[in-house]
Amino acid sequence: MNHEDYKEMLPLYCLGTVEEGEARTLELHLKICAECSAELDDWRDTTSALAFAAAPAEPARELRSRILESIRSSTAQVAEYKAEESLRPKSDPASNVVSLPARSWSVAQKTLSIAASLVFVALLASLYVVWSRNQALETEVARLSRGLDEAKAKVARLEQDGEILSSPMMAVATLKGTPMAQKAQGKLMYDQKTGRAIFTAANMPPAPAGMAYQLWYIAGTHVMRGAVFSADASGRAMMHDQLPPEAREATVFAVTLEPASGVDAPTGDKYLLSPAI
Amino acid sequence: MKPESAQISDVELLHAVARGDEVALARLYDSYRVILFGLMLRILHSRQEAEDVLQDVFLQVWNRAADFDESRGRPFTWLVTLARSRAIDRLRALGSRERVAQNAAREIVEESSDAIEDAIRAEAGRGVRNALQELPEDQRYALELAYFEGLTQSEIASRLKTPLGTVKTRMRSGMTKLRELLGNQLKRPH
Repeated sequence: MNHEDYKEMLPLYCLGTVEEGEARTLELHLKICAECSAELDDWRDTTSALAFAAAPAEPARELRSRILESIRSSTAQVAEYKAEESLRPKSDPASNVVSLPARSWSVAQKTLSIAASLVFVALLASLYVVWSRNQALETEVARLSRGLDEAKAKVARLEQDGEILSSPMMAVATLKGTPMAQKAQGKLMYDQKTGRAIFTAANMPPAPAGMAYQLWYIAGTHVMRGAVFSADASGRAMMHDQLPPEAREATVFAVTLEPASGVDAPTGDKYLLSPAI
Repeated sequence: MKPESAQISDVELLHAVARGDEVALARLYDSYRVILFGLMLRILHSRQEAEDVLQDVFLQVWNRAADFDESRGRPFTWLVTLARSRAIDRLRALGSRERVAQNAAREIVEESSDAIEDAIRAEAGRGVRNALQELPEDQRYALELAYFEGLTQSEIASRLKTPLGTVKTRMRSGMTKLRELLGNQLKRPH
């Protein structure tokens, strides 16, 4: 799932209708995505408006006093506990002359408090470990999620390539190096129906700064511009292009060296040329 | 929804509750009891259960008011979200939703006290009710099944004998339309 999928889930999540597993995944995303988290707050406002679909109703009159009494008693309990704590005798270093059971209790108490402190420290340490593991997991999830998006894009591109290559209307043109680059060669594979094309080239000389190669489709006297590309350090290049309908009738394909932004009509030297079909 | 000036005062009330101000809690109860109790009753279909949960909700407000963060939402949203969540928990704890729905005498709200009339008149809630009425019937029904019965999307799909995808689309469209219709009424005071 990507960011947009999560964003779409937000209103349903607010309604509480998202299945358990999906909800957990979304919650992980919410921890790392400020945009979704802010949007979730907005959706909560919308969701809370649904409460107005219920007919308003008056509770029993005595409920108000019941609630106030219960908070008073819960507050009183807390206060009572605090008072008891403060009244409890503190260990007095001056009163060393104490009975044996009392002393042994005191030893037990000390041991217990040391043990409790150790447990507390251990708990803190494990909490820290859990927290840092959680942080690491969140980072990992974010990284994996980005990786997944990239992989999805690659798969989509590969699927598209597969469609071009397996199309019954696929055409292939081979381009050979001109005297400008005798070892260079290129291959254009395109689907005559959809116009989607893959172009590969090898042994292309490095293009000077500010310059790049441009592909041309030539049908009779009609020259149509194709995409601009550059080769890597080893002279290889691969690019995708979309042929306009008229270009699918082309019989000649050429590659020239042009300004990197591309031009509407060829101006530079030819580097690759297909024999007329 | 409440007017903006009241919103600010509700924020202050919640802060006061967080400091242990009992009067502030009583004032919040007075402001919201009618809408919240209506919500409880609609979910639980039993006055007894609804009152128990409402009491529980205000105890939670008392204990958790410090958690309220006005930068993330309105007091109304916070209270309603808390109340709805407690009521759905109780509904689930009571066992089969069908049993509750069928066995508990569906208590019709007979009272129409001045307080209710006042609440209806004074509240901008009227605007919200109108917005809800403007939703297409199938969308509103799906939203209400989710909100008041706590059903998951697959449960709603099987209840409506409708494909899951259609149910999701219906709920998403309903929520989006509701958000548009409510527009300014939901704008937070900043």
